[in-house]
Amino acid sequence: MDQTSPTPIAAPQGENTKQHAVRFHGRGAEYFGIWIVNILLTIITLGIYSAWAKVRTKRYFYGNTELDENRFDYLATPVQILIGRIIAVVLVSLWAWMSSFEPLAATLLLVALGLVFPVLMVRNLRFDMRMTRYRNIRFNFVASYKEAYKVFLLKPAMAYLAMLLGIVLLVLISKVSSVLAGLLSLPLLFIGGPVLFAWVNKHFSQFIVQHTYYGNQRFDAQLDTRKFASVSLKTLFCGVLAFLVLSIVLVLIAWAGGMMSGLAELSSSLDQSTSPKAASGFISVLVLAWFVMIVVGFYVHAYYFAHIRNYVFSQTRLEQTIQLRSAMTPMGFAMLIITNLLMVICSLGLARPWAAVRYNRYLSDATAVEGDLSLAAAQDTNDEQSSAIADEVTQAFDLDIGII
Amino acid sequence: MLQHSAAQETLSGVALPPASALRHKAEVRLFPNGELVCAAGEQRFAAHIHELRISEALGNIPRSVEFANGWSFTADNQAALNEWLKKHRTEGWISRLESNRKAIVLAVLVTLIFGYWMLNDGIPAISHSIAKALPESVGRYVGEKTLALLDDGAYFSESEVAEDRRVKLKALMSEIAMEHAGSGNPEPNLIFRQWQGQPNAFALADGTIILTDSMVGLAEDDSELESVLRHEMGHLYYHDVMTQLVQASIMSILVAYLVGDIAGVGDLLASTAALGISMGYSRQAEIRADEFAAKGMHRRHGTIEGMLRIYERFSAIQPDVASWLSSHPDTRHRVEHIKALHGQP
Repeated sequence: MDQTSPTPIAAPQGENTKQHAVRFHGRGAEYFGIWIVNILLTIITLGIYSAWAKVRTKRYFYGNTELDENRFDYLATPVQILIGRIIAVVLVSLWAWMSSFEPLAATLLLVALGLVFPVLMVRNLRFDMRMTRYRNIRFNFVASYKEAYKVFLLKPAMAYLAMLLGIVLLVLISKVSSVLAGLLSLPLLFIGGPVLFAWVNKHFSQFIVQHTYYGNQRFDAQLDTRKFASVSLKTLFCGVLAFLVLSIVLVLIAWAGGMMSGLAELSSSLDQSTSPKAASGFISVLVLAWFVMIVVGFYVHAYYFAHIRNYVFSQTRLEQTIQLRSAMTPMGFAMLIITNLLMVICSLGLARPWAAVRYNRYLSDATAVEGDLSLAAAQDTNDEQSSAIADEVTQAFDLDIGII
Repeated sequence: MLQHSAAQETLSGVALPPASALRHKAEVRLFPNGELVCAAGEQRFAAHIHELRISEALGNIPRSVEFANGWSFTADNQAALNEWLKKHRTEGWISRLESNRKAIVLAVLVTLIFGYWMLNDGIPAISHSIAKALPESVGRYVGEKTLALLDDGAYFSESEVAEDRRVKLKALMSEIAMEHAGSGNPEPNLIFRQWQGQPNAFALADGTIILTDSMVGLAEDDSELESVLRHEMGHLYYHDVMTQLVQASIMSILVAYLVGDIAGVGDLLASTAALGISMGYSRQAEIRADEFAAKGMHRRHGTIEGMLRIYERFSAIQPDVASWLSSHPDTRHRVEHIKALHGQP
């Protein structure tokens, strides 16, 4: 910036710890129009418009997210998305086609994809960050592939290897004493697994935060594996507890509803399992069990996501001056995604725009930024073009790892 | 704030220098001819609306204008700037559609009808034409692979059906194949295998038809087995095996597309729905193959007695599974269906 520039709006003294809430201004009814026109044009153009649709959708959500009187911008162009999308569709078709009759080749394709996964992740993150702008400054992601391979491939492989080693040891011990092996298997499964999972995930989060930039300003986070491990263990505990409670409640409901008559019949006449009533009773219980799994799954996801996001944000700083905050509650978030799901199902998908708006509003409301947001030292550094190929491939194969 | 002088409007707002996040108080004058003058402190720059980089209209997002020198401006009164831009610039027709009530209602209707049609007819029809267009070598390859997989995977073992019975049934298969010669389906090739499950018959992509020993044992005469062979011939005739492979690929792409969207809704549900839909397609194919077999039986024997007999015996030994959870319709339902088609009580 040269000296002739006008004086910027000065931040009042004592503002350095001021909290700036993130606000979301999107409205379901307004987004519905955008969403349905996106679908219509995607149908008419046989899918080609979907790239334009993605850009409009992203722009809508970024542009309605406000921080300290400025909105975020999404900068990707539809053609970038379209090229990435075509490559992703070809890869997914190839994989889907092969997995039907050539499982070996399909597996090899997945393994190949796994081997390039760290590269895809870095390029994907870089694309997403570079396409995000706030106040004339774009975000950026700068990381070496070598480090990405360590974090996304080597560390997960080591964790799997450790689990495998534990299982081999258990098998060896079981040859001597099956009781001892049984006793040892519990801590391996319920403590060893979650701790390794936490260790891998901590490195994911740390890698991503530490290589993210706002222009020339660097984000940093010092994360503790112990905190991740404690969240993982609590999540597992909550999941098991929720599953037991919900199962008991459902069994009681089923029993009260007389559905157990079907089950009782099944167990008393196992030799003639052709009884239609027994089978349909059994199916109803299966469907209920499926439903319980979904509800518990959502709660467990919400519990883990909320606690990890709150923790990671609490440790994240931009150049030691600006602090991120997240205040999600597991129950609130679980209720949000479960009600969203019910809304979407009951409306045959037509309530998706409202669900998306509610989701984004919830996340925005739970987020704040602390510190002096005049961002005087920040300077945009990006100039080269980016490609969306990695972005689309990782999304097509559902390889995204959520950090925020 | 918005001021109404003779012909111009003045908007206060914030200007950002190029590649910087420093907010400067700024004022912009908008002229009716499309000229725009921005004053940020000492700096002043003017431009015509056509020389500005303007973010496209989308919902009610506050729009920003960017000058050629990299400065950008957003107004405190966002609606006023949006209004002025709308007046001096023809908006894309897409953003007009997105806020047009009639267009939205029409889009909802078209989408619902299209979705319904796609699920019922579109995906099966597209898959069928792709399957038919595929070269024969693909079907041969897939069929051989499948048989090898079944043979190696301990599903199948050597058949114990007597040699003379096999010869007779193979001759019957050739007769059926003759009836449909030249219809473009792979030439059927009947083979025999033993397996643990209930009586069954399979058609593979390359035209191989497998009859299990227990199926041969279930039949009391050859006209009963003929109906089973005709059913499998129906699968070949309609290219059902390849069609279902193509369908599975299309479904995976669709699910990946739908799930890769924002909304925070789980993908377990989407894959369950995909499975349910595939099962539905499979049941449709079974009904069609039944119709094909019944028609053939009726043409040759003037009756579908044999077919009804083996289907009824089959349904008696079949465990009851909710039909929406199965790749095959309930056999009793299938019996009723072919009875109704051929006017049997």
